Amino acid sequence: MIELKNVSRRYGDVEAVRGLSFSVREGEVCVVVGPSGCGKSTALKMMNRMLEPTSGEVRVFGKDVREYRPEILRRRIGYVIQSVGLFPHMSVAENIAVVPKLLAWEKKRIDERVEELLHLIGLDPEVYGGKYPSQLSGGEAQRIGVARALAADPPILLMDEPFGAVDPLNREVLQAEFAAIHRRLGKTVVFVTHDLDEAIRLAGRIAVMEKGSLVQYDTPENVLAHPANRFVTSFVGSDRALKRLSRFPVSAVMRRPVAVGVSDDIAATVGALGKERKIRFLWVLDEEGRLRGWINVWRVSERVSIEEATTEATAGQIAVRQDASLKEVLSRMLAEGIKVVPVVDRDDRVVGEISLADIERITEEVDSQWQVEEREGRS
Amino acid sequence: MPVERSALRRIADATQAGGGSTKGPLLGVAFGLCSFALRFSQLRPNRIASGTGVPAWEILTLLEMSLLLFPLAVCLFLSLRPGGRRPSSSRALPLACGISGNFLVCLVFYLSGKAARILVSPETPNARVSMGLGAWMMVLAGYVFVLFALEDGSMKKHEKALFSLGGAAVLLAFTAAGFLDGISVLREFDARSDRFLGELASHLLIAGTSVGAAVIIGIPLGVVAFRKRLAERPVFFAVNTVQTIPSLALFGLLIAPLAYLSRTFPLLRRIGISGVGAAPAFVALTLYSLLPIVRNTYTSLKVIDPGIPEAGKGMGMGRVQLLLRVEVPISLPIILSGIRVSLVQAIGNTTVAALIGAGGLGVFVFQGLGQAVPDLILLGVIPVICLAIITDRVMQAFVRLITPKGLSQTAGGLG
Repeated sequence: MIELKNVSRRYGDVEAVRGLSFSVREGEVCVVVGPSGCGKSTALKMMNRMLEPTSGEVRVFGKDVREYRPEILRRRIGYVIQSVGLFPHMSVAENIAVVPKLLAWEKKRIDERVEELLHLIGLDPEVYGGKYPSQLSGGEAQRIGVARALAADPPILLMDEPFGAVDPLNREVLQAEFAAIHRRLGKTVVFVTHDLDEAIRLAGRIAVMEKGSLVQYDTPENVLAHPANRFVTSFVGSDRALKRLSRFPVSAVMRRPVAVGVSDDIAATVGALGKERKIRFLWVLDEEGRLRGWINVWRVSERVSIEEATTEATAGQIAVRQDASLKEVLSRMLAEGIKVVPVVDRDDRVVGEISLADIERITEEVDSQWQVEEREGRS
Repeated sequence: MPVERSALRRIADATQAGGGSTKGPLLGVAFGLCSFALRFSQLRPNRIASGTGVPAWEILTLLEMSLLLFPLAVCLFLSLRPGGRRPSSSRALPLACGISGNFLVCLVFYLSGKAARILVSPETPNARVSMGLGAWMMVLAGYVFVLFALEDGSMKKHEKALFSLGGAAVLLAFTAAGFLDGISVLREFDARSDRFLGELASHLLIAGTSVGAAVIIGIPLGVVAFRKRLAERPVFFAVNTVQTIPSLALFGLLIAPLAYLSRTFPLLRRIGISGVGAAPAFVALTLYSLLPIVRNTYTSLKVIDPGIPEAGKGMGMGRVQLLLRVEVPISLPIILSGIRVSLVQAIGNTTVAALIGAGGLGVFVFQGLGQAVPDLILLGVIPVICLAIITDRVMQAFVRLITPKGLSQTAGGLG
């Protein structure tokens, strides 16, 4: 879909990009990552002719980009930047409609597309369509920036540090939403960031750049397991085992929760666990299945009700979301000093649990797999 | 005594209960009543002599006096009415104030015109009658009423338009019909009606062309100041410095160089450029008009986030599309606000330009000063004030009209 062949770009005496060659497959999310000034944004901007290479060739849709008129090429490539750049004098709906209007779509088709896109990014068209950019929060503005880039259904999306200016909490939400949108639409995406965690989370393949050159281009797992050189090793950092955890979603590892209702009978509950009482903690749920707290069955007396025996805790304090990563689970465990955390859905209903042992098991499996791969690679 | 006390309490209640919302009308009523104690008209034996006052009761009939008192009484009653705070009747007071105010202003001018006709007898053709302090006080009362009505939230748009323009239209009709001809300022006008129109035209021409030239120079200067970092400081230093020179001094400073140029190049002399007259006025006024235009052009570009053109370009907009659909709609209201300030300022400064022989309404002001004829000064000053206010309002409305909805807060802050 996108192919760079020995591309270089100079600014005066400085070579921002030198001899860059790599290609992005259709439907793939390629995250270009590296420290600031490594030429990653320059590389991205040469893909839609915002910048011209000094030498080399950039091919998009199977043709040299120089064969397209820049405007025509750009209308087929979505472009999202860190500062969003929403037009302040246009409503949200008008902003999203910019490219369809340039392509002279019919009004009805544009209106339908705007509504569809606002639904896609989870904003109510009735409420947001008529708003102006000055009335939006940073996260909302960035979502609309993404919707605007997707408006004319371009096969390719170029994103230049799109979530860099959003606060860390909202950034994780936006990342999760972006991953979900990509699963639905399957666009070819080139995503530039200096945030390795973001890269590991979103990438199908990571392109690590250093001083204008590509130093490694591989899956996140492989970049973490086998850094190509000393630069990548230091960029990946000594916590790469921890970073790897952010590749595993909670939903893939969690088990069914061991829980009781707040109004259940305590004697029956304890009886059902048997004499050995292998399980020590039970989650206590309210009538709607939301977390109320937990009980320690080893210490509980059968004379009190479950409600009285419950140690109160809310989902916000100890639980993790289904779409979180194992890294967040581990961080929650360390912060709260617990070895098991409940997993909740969007409405705070408990849908599963994860223990420290589960995380250890996953890490071991992956480690042994890497060792196998390494042996095979050598032989 | 008990009666008075209860009346006092009512005034206190009325002013407090509505959060002071009846203070305006009460102030207007007070001004209106005071005006009866002052001289309604001023009679002078000739145009430069000092005059004697004529009180209202000597010149106005009983009917006319009661016509003046009636709106005051209505407003007073509505402000003090105990049930006046009911929501159903809350519109009665501002409506009454709006109508009373316009009525009072028109009536005062009409009566002043009538008084002038009575006071100037055929035996004293040189006598001059002008509006006395009492008449002006009543006009002020009317203005306070109108202001109160315009500030009231319950007034609808068309009512506000009626209150702010209705009286002015009637006054214009009165003037045209000759009702006010006896008033001294208009007698000065009568003596110079041809000259007046000529000077009005040249006033507008001088102010208009200088601002026009300032637009042609100022917008590119603002763009350069924004684009070239090196140019920013010198450009603003220059236009700010010009602004600090008093207008009279700037007119004077330009005489020598322009006279030299005109002497050296006969061609310039032939097209009418010399040290005095319209040429230095045009140059000075253009220089004055630069600051608001340069500053607002610069600001209008500065408020555009650099991501906006980048996003537009990245989405496949061409250079012209980006300019017409994005940059101009964002910048234009702010630049026009600057032009508005320049125009109002130029209309005022053109008055001074009469001193160096440029013409314009300032001619009457300086003639009047020279001959110690206050009416002649007013003949120059009143139209200048009206022109400035009308220009300001029209430009404001225009700027509001073209300001895109999403930007209305930004543009409002930059005047």
